[in-house]
Amino acid sequence: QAEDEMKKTSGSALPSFTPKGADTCLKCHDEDSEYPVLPIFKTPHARKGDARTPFADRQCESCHGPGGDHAARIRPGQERPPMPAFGKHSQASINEQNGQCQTCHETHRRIGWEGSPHETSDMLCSSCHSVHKSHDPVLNTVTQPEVCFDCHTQVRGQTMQLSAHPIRQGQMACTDCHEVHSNFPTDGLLQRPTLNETCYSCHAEKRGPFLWEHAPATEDCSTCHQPHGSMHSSLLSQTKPLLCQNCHSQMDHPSTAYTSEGLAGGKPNAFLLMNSCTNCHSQVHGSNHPSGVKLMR
Amino acid sequence: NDDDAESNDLKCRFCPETGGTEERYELGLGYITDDDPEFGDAWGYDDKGYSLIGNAELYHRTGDVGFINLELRDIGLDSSYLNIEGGQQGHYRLNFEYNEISRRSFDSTVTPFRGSSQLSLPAGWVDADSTGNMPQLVNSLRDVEIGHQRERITLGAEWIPSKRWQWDVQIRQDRKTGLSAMAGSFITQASSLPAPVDFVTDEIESTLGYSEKHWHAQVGYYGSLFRNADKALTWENPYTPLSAGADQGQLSLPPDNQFHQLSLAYSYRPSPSYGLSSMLAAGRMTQDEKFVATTVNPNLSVALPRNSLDGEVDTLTGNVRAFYNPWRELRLTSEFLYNDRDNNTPRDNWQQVVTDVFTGSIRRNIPYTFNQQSYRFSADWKANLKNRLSAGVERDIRKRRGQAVERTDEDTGWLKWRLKPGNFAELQVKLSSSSRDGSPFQNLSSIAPPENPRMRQFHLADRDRDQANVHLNLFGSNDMQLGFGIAYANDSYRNSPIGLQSGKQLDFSGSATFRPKEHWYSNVFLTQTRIEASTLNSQSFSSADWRGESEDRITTIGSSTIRTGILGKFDLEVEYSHSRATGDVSVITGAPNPDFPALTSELHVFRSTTTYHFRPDLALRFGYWFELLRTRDWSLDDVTLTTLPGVLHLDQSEPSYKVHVFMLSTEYRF
Repeated sequence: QAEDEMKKTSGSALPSFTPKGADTCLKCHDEDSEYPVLPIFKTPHARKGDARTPFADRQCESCHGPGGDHAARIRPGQERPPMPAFGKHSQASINEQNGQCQTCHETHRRIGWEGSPHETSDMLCSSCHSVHKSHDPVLNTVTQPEVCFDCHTQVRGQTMQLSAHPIRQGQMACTDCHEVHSNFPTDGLLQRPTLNETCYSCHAEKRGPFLWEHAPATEDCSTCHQPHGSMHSSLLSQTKPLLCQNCHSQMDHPSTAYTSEGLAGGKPNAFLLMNSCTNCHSQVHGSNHPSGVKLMR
Repeated sequence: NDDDAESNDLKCRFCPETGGTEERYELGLGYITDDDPEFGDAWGYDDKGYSLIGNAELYHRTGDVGFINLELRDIGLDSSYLNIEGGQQGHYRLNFEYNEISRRSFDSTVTPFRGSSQLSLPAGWVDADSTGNMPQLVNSLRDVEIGHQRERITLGAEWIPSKRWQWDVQIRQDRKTGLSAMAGSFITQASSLPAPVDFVTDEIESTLGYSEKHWHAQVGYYGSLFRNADKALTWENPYTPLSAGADQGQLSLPPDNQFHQLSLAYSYRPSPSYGLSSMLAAGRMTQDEKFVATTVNPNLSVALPRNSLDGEVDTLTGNVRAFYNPWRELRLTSEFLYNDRDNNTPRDNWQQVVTDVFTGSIRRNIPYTFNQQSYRFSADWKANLKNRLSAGVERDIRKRRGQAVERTDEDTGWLKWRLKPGNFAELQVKLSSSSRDGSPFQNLSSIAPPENPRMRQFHLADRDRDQANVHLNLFGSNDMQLGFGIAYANDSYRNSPIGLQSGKQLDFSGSATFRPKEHWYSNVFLTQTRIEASTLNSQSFSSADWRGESEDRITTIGSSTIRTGILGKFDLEVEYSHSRATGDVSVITGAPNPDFPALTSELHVFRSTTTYHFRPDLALRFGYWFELLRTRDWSLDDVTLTTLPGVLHLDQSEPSYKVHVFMLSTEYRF
């Protein structure tokens, strides 16, 4: 299976498989080696009873490719030939390396991988997944964000803001909102087909439909919110009342310039202080009250 | 490969046994030095004093494919987590998951209101025209904690009847209980109300997948049913009623609603040279909660045109992505996205009663419908082993019903260059530019009082957007990696006499990771963000006569080190991170008003854990954790209960705390 995949993708001649499979590999790659490989025997990949796993087939070489040359005797001073697939000095291309994983993992919830943002950014499966570790950190809610933050450093900073989803606290993982393998090929790699549907998974009370809708909120939560974190309350992208006044200019208080004169030490202004516009209009996601056209009921 | 061993014959004498049990139990005590609920937000810590540390993991594997896993975290806190799963690998899997999250929004909040969904004022309350004149206010206050507890139970199953078929289902119940802050007002006399939160959301999601050699198909169902135990919030008016009968008000609370969606996904990849993937999802949102009365003012009885909304929204979302490699170095990709929200909710005329005070105008509801279509085409050329160039064009069309601009067309072009001179570095540069134009602006008669006809809402306005992204990664020896990124975005709103004029964001990020050995990992990171926005508005209901500007500057730095096996006995984890945010606001009217004081927040987090291994199976762990949060927010600064005559608020203060946590625990591994 592995040989077929590599031949198919590389089109070049491959070395032979080792005659004894993993027994050959483990002579050198034991628990004392610099990068221990043995924890893989605590993972699903090593279950020989599952016919789909690498260890039910060519064992280590199911994924790493034929290791005949790598394991063969070499002359003193001769550089040991690398394994065909994986590793820093791999001869295999990104497609070949990922192809090894996709041989089994292209189905079900990963069928949109080709052409997805991570795929076109040359991401290797092994960029995120640590298949030799007994527990892959990217599959655990607490440890997953650290893996993602390796590349998404800016998001790490956002999660430390005053208002943020509880990622820093280990209560949410990136994959609670994002489908990184692009099952639904959406902008932002979301778990559900649209951004709002993704948000409604946890915030279903904002879904409606309401009698009186706030159209920008109904269309796109990110019109007002920064999902990864904000220095403003409720993940808002700007401070109130300016955020609201970007769109509202009706005569009287919506269009009034609220200057620093309205601070507590001056002439305290209810349109500026405490919750600002939402001191009265708190139903900003929509109201189902018959008299709620102003989102005050 | 004639001399290769047949894979079926491969034995493995040196392979460790895959069956067996791994267990880890941790039990101990933590001590928190300060009583600050805001610190405990989402961490699950609450009161000053001792708390239980309890964690457990159990992984049992049979000799063949059976397995049972158990994970238990933070059993002594309000953020506990339990997951039990088991099954036969490759055949079926069952799991049960429970977790809770405690969110605390405000600390030390107070209110004179009593009750839950029927808020009353204490006996002897004397109303007044302003908060400062309410004689019973101070003596009537009670503590109230704004926040909620979220508990989620998940049952999951996966079944793999054959190599081609796979089915899974997840059933979740999410219960959210607590209090939120809502506003209830009578014209300009407002109160912040502790509103009950008693939400239950049931979700079910199931997919059935089928795979052939060159194609995969998947059908799915997603259902979400939301229920709210409280339909309305009624409160006594603490102010002197502005009209007869306006001595109480009523808000509607989020109505019960449902969403059901069927999806079909398909991918076809007959060769590495071409293929496509697609998805189509059709859904329906419904909401038919019985309406509350138009007003609770007995003097203003108004009949409803219907008893419930009978709200119904059909959604249709689709995507098709196809790629073709005419030769090895070139990939062409085209993509089409479709998103339609068709709101079929009935339209009626609704007699408005303004905040339970007086009868207003008749308004007609406008069920919001929109449609989005995006067409994308890109080419990706691997010029050589080091250089890769990509370019693409996109057109995004959005149509909306009942909005000031009913159609916007946005065209985008982008270029991307990736340089990989060797295994030591990679550079990526992406530039994009887009232009959005809308259909003619129209004044909406449905908005009363009318918007200024010069206003262009920024999500509908004509806009030019330019973006640039640069990422550089350097790879050194000892698995050292340096990463730098710069992202710049500039939005300019061309034809907006008033409304948002521009928005800019500049991000810088840098990080370094260092892993000299498997048992040693260190990293350091820095991020900086600057966000600017400028808006024009008019208080004279004509041309722009004032400008609002905001600038947010955010810096975060952090570093962590994990070192295990020190002297063969110690493990050490140390982490420090710091975030500082500053927000400047200016409102320029021509009058000599000073700028607002800066909004600031500053967070310091230091955590360390030292583990001493007495024996391979027994360890003692000591943890120390320090967090400091300081914020300044002019909207809350010096605002007492009587500062705002027309707002009876909850007296929330700026979040601020300084907390030390000490933890001592023992860990036993089997």
